[in-house]
Amino acid sequence: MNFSRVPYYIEVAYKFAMIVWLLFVSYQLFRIVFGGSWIMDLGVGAVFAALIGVIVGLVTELGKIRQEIGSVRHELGKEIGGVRQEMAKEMGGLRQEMAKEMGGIRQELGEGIGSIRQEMGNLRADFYKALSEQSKELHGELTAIDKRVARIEHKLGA
Amino acid sequence: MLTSDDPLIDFLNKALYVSIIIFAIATYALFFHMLRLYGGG
Repeated sequence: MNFSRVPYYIEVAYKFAMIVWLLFVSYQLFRIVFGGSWIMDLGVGAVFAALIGVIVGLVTELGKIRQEIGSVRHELGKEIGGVRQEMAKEMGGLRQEMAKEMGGIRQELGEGIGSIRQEMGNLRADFYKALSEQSKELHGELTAIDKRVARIEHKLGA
Repeated sequence: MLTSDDPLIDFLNKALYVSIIIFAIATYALFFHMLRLYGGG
């Protein structure tokens, strides 16, 4: 018989009843074969009842222990949940601190990069200014040389 | 089938197994008892 689909207590009750019934019928059969007396019936009955009592007591005790384990597990779960929550809170705080720190560093870095970029821009502007002045001077000199060449050519030609 | 994770079910399975064997022996004994009483044609 497959007990995977029936409740736990049904399985226990079924098996227990089956055992009691089988033992009872077996006793009756043995009594038919070997004979017996009412005093023997009483004795066997008493032993059997005592055995059943012990088994039922053990099962009840087991149930209690199981219940105890369940409650302890429940308590433990609560405790673990609390600790986990505390940890999460702590982690959240740390994360926030880290983010703040990172934000500050990022801002400083950005400022530094900005000032370097500005410096570079200034340098470039100076460079182009100097270059344009230099080219102007060169242009003037070249014009003067051209003029002198033209004058000399004119003298030679004349 | 005879062993289970649950200790109570494990115990009941083994007790049931023993009970079935006792029942089988009793039936066997009754059969030969009847044979002795009414057998021998």
